Amino acid sequence: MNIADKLQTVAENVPKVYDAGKQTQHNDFWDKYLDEDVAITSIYNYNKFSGAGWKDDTFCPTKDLKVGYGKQWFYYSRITNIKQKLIDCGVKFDFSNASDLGAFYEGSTTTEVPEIDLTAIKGGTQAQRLFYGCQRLVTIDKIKTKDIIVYGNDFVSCTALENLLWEGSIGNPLDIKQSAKLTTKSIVSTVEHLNNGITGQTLSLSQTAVGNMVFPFTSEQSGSTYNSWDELIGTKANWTITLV
Amino acid sequence: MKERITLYADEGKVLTDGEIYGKIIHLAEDKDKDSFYEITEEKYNKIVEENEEEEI
Repeated sequence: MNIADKLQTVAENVPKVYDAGKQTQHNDFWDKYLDEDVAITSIYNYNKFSGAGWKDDTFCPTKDLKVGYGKQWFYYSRITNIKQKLIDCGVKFDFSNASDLGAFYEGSTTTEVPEIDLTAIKGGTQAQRLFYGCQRLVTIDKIKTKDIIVYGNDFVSCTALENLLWEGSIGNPLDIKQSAKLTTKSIVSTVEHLNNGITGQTLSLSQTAVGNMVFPFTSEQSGSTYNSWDELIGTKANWTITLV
Repeated sequence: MKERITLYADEGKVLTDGEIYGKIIHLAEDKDKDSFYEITEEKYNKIVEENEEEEI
């Protein structure tokens, strides 16, 4: 190989070397940033991806996001679709050690979020304001919950929300009245997961959303068919249901 | 299916018992309809605004 050819080869490889270095730097950053011990145990690990600096081109984790103290993790982040970004980056959430998820997505610009699991939380009040101010949020794949979870302003300003499924039992007052676009499937899922054995609790929904429900509707989750709104809420006579 | 008592607020009003609010309220079996009264939408909106500002 003559000098000219060698120089040509070096020139051709410069972008590859640059990219490899960049990738190494990227991986090193994420390895340190997602250090498991810190993520699980440290209360200083709040606001993990919060603020305007976290956008589509800065958020691409290299390994699963193990959430421990998850307070305000995506507080006012500017990632446009957290669910899709996690899929694209080949990672997922692990909520099995989540101790606090307060304001987890508050103020975020995301349009979709994957399943969020609240069942590892030991107290009731560590999951409030989950989606507070998420005005662009259309889809929450699923919320896995349990009776003691307290919903405090979780869905304030979620005016674009259409899709929301539940798993587990809802045992405290729940307010989704600002979500006028909720689908029939979402409302049915919500009602079906209200605890049948408690008294004194209230579900607040949008009058518009309930007015737009389509019956008869067969729930994929339960297999039950409902022919009317009255029939649906008749299954939860222990809950007061308000429409605003 | 159990029958419910349903309360309807007049135009421009919201029903409340001091804790819960709604233009239409499907009462739970143990709820007393006599404890509900109407307030104006303006007053209701002010209450909602105050409640939504509560920090965690």
